[in-house]
Amino acid sequence: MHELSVCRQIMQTVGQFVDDVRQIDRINIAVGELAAIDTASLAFWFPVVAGENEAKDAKLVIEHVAALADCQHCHHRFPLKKRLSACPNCQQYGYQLLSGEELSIKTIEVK
Amino acid sequence: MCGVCGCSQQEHQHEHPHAHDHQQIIAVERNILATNEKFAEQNATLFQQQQILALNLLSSPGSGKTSLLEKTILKLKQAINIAVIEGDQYSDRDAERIRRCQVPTEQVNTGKTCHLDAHHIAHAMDHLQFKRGILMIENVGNLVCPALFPLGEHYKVVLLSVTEGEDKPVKYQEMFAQADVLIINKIDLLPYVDFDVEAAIAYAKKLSPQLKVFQLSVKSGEGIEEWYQWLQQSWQASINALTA
Repeated sequence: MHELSVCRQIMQTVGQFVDDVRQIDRINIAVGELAAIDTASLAFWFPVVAGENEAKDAKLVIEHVAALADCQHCHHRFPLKKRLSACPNCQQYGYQLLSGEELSIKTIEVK
Repeated sequence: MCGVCGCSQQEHQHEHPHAHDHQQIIAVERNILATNEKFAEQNATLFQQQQILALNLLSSPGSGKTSLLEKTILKLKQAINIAVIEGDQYSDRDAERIRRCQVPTEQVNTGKTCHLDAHHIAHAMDHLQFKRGILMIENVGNLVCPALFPLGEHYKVVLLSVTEGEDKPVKYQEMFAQADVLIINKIDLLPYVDFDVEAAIAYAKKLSPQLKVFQLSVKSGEGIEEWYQWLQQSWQASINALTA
């Protein structure tokens, strides 16, 4: 739902790291599986936003980060595709998320 | 084409970032939603400094947030200072209802945006000049986006009314995973709807194991005393923590 504004936020942030956004070739971002962001939609909107900012050559490269949980009952670590997931070891609910909520810019590659 | 894996897609996974024949890789390591998180932290600090207990009220449109606030304010305002920030896309109808309860109220109109963010709250606090009490933030009615935007609150209070279906926690997992309190509202209508209260609570507790649950009807008053008591106890606990 907010993928367009997330793209705008990405452009605004990278603008703080480079003198000239036209020099940007790639922006590498990490998106966790549970980050509630539609990466297909991000990939769709990014060229629009890049064009708005005269950075039409800039490409968004998305690294998907898998979600990993630590069961709060038995401390078994398990991957999960959705938040409503029981521990496969003890079948109970309740965990600490170790990864999977990332939404961050990792690096920028300039020409 | 990517020189590492030979793909031509924009989305691909690699163990290490690599340059595609470029001069420079700039490390950023910045959370994309950092701006809102920064404002949320600033709000949390302000609440601490001003001895404010902040609650973020969340639900679908029409679950009963504003009605719950009206009744809660009228019951508690003699004993505890209360202020309200109202979030809606348009209009100040909700703020007007709260103003009739005679507590400091600020309406934030988000326009095309479907959620309050921490920046909205920071500005509202500039106008409110509120100290030593409970701040109720009534978010825009929406079970999706407000979950992505922390405001600096102490508690997220999610309302779910019995006309909405017991499977909402399964459908809106981000929201219910973040809930500290769940209020099942409109229980006076239970004889007329097919709502499985125990199932709704069970789903919600799977997502948020420490969840505190209230079942009440704002309209009839059934069950609402427990909510008032929890608020009073939480207020007392926060004051004790601040003065310790």
